Amino acid sequence: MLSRLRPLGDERGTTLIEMLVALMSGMVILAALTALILTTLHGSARVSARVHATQRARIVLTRLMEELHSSCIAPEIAPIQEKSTGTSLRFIHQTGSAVQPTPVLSVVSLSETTLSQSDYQQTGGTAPSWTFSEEPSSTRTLLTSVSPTSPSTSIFSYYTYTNGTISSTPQSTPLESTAAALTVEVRAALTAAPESTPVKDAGASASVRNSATLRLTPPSFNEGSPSRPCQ
Amino acid sequence: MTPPGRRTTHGEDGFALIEVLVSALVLAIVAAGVLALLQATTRSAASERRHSEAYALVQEDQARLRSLRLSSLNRLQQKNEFTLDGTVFTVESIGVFVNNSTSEPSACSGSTSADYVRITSTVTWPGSLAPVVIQSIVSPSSGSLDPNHGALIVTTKNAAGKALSGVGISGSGPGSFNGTTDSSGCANFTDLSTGNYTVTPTATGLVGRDGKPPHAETAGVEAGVSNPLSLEYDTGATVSAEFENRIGSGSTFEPAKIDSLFVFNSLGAKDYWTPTNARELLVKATPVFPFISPVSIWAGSCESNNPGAGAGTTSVTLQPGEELKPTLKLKVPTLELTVKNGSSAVSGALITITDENCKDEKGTSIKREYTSEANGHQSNSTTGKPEYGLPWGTYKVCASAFYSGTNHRAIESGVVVHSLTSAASKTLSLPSSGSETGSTKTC
Repeated sequence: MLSRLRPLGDERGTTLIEMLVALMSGMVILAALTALILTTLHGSARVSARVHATQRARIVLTRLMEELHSSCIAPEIAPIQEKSTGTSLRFIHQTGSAVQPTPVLSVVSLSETTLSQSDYQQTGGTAPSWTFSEEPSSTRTLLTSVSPTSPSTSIFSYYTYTNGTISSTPQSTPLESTAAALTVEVRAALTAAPESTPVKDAGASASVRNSATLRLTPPSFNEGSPSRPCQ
Repeated sequence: MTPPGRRTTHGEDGFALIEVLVSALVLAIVAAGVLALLQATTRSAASERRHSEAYALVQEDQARLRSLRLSSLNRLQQKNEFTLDGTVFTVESIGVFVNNSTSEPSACSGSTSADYVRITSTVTWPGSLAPVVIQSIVSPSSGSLDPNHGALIVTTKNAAGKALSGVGISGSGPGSFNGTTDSSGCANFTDLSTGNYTVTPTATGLVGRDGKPPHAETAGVEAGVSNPLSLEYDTGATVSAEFENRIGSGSTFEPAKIDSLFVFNSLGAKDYWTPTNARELLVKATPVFPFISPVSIWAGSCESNNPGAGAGTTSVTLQPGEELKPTLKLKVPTLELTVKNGSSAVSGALITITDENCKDEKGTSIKREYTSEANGHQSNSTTGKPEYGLPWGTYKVCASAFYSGTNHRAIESGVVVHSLTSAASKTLSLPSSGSETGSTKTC
């Protein structure tokens, strides 16, 4: 920096000050750069954590919605079962190529922060009064680190038709058998946190929501006719 | 960094410091730029996330709309709010019947039909640059509409027959509906219970063919039929007129005071009055519907007193919102009344001239009141000038005066005042003996 300066007697002090200043400013710049890089790294970690959380939540929700959309396995049945609550969804469903699919009773429930699904096989009966095994044939974890979207809301909510439109107020839970027989829409809304927490950041969790309508056709114009599921 | 060839040792350190500071500043600027870039990237990532959430919401809403009853979907306009990760998303759902061939909202003429319902879901959120929109259609399956219901198609046009958009239409009756006419001037109300509806249009500043602001109309809805209701409104025009009547049988005219002006077209007509129905030299008619064909204007208040072609009427074509210039000059016929008691003129008698043809809006006869002046002619006061000019018509004239302790009255019916060439003159001779007692002048 100072290579072109001549060696003069009083120049040394100046050089030292210059050196110090240069060092100082260099350090300041380095510190700023380090902070910048740290912030960027932090931010990108958060973004990837959130993307991860979103993906996890979406896949589970999509799968759940597909199962709900495959729940009208016989005409005019009520797929949503009684005793469903805001954290536990009980429904029957089946997919497959069979003309008369064998229903499966699934219970998707939240315990602590883990969402899991238990499947119960059919043991007998005909539509709509099937009987199901007492013991689950399989239980698997759908999603961990799950919570409702806000402390006051529930993960699952159940709606009926009133006057041709889906009611805006959910039914009270746990569902009575009469309420379950009228449930035509299920909404699910949940917040998933990233699986591991490389960054301690509440903002890294992702909320997703979706709803499934359990109707094959829109309800009749006739106000008096009942608008039940799977019609 | 130190400039080459500099030899001065004193003051050099300061210069070097400035250089360092300048380079630090440059670096700071560059760093600020990089920081801004980073921030922009973060922001766009956040916006991308909102977009993806909005897209999920819009799909959910479409699925919801598809499960609604068709009659609920038509004219659906709904707004719902959902909070996801602290962002409030507003989902707007719109359903409208559209026509197959034009893909426009089902409209006007009976030949176009309401074929299917177009459902549109729009999601917006604070800071969204463009909303996320999904539009799809729902075809009504047979039996999805009540066969006992009908439709009402309201069309609004202006005087030139062009579509008039933005007219609010609300109806009440067996059911109720609400809407606004679209760019084709149509509002389509389907799936209505049969019966008679009161349809109230809302359009400020506009006037109908009858010269009145838009007012409620009655329309019937029949089962399985689309009934049309055509409404015509436009910006009113203004017409002013001055009048003159012939003096005696000579060729001179004098300004006449008139109270009403009649604007006539075969499609609609209206009488316009001075502010307090007083007789004035100038009468302003506003708002007048700007018919595309000419309107006839004459002094008077109903169609049956039409003076026919001549100097008493004028024919003009009005433009919407136009104030017609110059002021129209219209001739009015003359009626010279003289109230006499024997051979002497009576001053201060009450004279009423009642129109035998025209009635006002409430259906009561139009009665004009005068006072006889010194020479017994009709005037606005005992000392004023005679007012011979009258709107065209056939009148019942009556004079009443109180003197010698009783009320004297003379009445003449069927006085035709319908000529510009010669003045109608009539002498009302009060009977020598009073017919009634009391001091009130009656006519």
